[in-house]
Amino acid sequence: MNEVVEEFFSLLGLIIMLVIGVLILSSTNEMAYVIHGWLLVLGTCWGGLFIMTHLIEKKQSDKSEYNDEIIKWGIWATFLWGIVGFFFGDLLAWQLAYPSLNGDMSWLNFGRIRPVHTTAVMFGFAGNALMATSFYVVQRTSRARLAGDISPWIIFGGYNLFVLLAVSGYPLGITQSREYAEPEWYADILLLFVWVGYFTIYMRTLARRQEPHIYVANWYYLAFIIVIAMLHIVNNLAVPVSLSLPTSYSLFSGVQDAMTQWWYGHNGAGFLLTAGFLGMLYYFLPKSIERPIYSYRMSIVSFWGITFLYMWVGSHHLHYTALPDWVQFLGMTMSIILLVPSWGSVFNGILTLNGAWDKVRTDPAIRFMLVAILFYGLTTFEGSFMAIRSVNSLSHYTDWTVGHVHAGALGWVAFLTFGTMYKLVPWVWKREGMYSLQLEAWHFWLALLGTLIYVGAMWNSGITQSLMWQTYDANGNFLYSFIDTVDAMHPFFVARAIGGLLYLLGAAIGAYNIFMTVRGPLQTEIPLSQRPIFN
Amino acid sequence: MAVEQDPHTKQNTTGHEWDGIKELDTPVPKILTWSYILTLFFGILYWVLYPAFPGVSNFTRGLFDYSSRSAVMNDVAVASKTKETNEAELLSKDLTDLAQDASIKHKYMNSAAILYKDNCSVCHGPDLKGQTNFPNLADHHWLWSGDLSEIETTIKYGINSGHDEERTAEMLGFGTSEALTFNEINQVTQYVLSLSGKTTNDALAKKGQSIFNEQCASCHGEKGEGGLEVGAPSLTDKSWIYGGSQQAIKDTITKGRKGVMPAWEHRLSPFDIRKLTLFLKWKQDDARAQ
Repeated sequence: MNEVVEEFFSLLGLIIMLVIGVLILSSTNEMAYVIHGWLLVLGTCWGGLFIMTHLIEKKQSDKSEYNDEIIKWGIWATFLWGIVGFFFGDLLAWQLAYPSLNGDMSWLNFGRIRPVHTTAVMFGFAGNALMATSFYVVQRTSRARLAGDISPWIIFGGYNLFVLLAVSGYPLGITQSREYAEPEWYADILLLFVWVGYFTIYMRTLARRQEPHIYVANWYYLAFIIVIAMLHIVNNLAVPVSLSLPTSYSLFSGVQDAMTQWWYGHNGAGFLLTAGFLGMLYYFLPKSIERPIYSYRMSIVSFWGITFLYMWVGSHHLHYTALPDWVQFLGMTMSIILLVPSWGSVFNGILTLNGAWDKVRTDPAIRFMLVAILFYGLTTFEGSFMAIRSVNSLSHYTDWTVGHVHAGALGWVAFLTFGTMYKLVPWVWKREGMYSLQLEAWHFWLALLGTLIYVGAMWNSGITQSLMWQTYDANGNFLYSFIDTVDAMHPFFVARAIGGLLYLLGAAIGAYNIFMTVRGPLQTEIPLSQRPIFN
Repeated sequence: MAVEQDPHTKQNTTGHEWDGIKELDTPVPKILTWSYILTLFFGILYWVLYPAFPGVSNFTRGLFDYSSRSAVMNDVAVASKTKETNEAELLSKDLTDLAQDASIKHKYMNSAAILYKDNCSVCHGPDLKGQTNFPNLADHHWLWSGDLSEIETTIKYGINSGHDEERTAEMLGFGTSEALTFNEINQVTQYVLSLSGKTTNDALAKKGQSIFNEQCASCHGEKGEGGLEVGAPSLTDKSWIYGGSQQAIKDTITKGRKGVMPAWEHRLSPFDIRKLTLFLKWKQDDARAQ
């Protein structure tokens, strides 16, 4: 019964997207939009054929095993988008240092490829990493096979089609100009269907669990899924101009619009890049070092603390703007209160390592995880600090903000992803271990050096610029012109680009290591303890 | 699963297990609890002192009755008062006297140069030499006489800027309005080229001269020396705003030109406009001295 319902809704979603694709193709002759119409049509047709093959051949999957095939694809997608995202990020960094590197071409313009970078790393890299690991974790901690045989594939395909629509549209000029939510209405509808499907799969798997309780990691993954759905719907409420143009107008305007966008933007950081990855941490850290979680109580305090408080703090991005003072102060105070529950997770992570500290030395994957926790602690402290209005008057509109974001993105999100992947890859492909521990270590040190150079350069650049902006003579005249401050930032821009290059290099080594692991020999014998138990 | 004791930390587990992962029932560390209370207290204090919560038609104002708007208005008022006191001499004295005064130059040259870089250099260039479509401010060719008060007027009100007091200047498009034929434009072009001593087709230039006298001389003068009253540039020197090549001149005559200099009256204070006026003069003096 369930499977029929699943097939019905998967098909319904596909048909709606197919109709939108066909309508687009029949009503426009704008190049980029035509490409998107074709992507929708081809993507949905692939999905339809996939379902039909499945129905005709009546493929019966082995229900006594976990569904790990989808996770393998998720890992490849994570690394593919990761490399694309890091590459564009570093290209942007070089463009900032040497603007002529855009080659005077519109589709390599900074404004057009910056969203390629942000979308590829947030939705492509981080999003696929979360989807893959959440499917892994929910099965293991529920002792149940992933719900649905078809829908996970449709969801995974649809999600990556969304990312592809997004990053292929920006260079050609398709954007709704909402930061981190640039894709136009048809891509937003696609993501909405995908997300509802993702949520359904997750809930159905949890519902068939054979454990009495739901593990912490799943709370966090669920918080991530539910909140992203909410943010995505509200922030993208818009009216398309016509079918023949990839253009729409938001329902919000003025300061309400700014507040909506930052409510979305900050909770994107809070729930995609934080809650989701805490879910990853809560499974992969204790599992890898074979130690119990340090404190169940602290898990509860931290979870409800950040889930409740994040929702309030987006307004700290709009200090000293037209946003009413009370919204600014409320956002600022909630940001400060948010610090302690964030650090609860840091304490829990670090103290869980008690009794297994030797592994930090011997296992680069664990080292990745430890550094991730430290950067999480650093970034959440810095975030609360920068949310204070007087501090923000120094940091706002400078590279300090960029450095802060990358301390979180490079140091926390990506470090944890790499550490996790080095554990997960041998587990899902049933290999003895990674191809090369030495390459893992190389990746670790390149990534750490790259991150430190990046973040250090941005702190210097941001604070230098802000201080230069705020320097006056006795009569209130500026002592530096704006272009003087840009000149002063140039060396830091170059340093940042070098840091980013090291990071990209590390990720490429990681991808190679994973490729070689997958190509390598199977594990000789799977110990009983690692086999799923269904009874 | 039963509750058991972790041998390493001596803490009890909660008795749950997932895929081999257990949890300890360790209490929350004291330092976290106290920090949580401290930050909460800090938050509550702010809610009492500053605007923080919405009501039905208004919001809580807080004991300080703080408002970003009045705070910044206050700062701006104090700053402009300081400026009015400290830089009063700029407005009370005559421009030509100020330009001669070495102590004034010493005092204001730096801040004037920064004003120039922030506001003017995008069009007129960091070296004041302009670029195509934007006049050179480093040579001695001035559209509106180069008199200091005239320069100040131009900065204040702009040219074709839309300001009520704007200067207006327009080179008509003799091709687009069909006042001149293609051949006539070629002839005038040759004549204009000859005015600044460039080699030309003499036969064409000769024909062009009479057209020039009829159509152009009223603004540019009989000898092409330019008209200060209407901002018509001299055609006899080597300064060209829109390019001095044969093609560029032909384009100008055919399509006309109407460049814009923005009005700065509402963006810069009278003190700053004075400083920029003096800055141009001082830079020219410096260049001449070298």
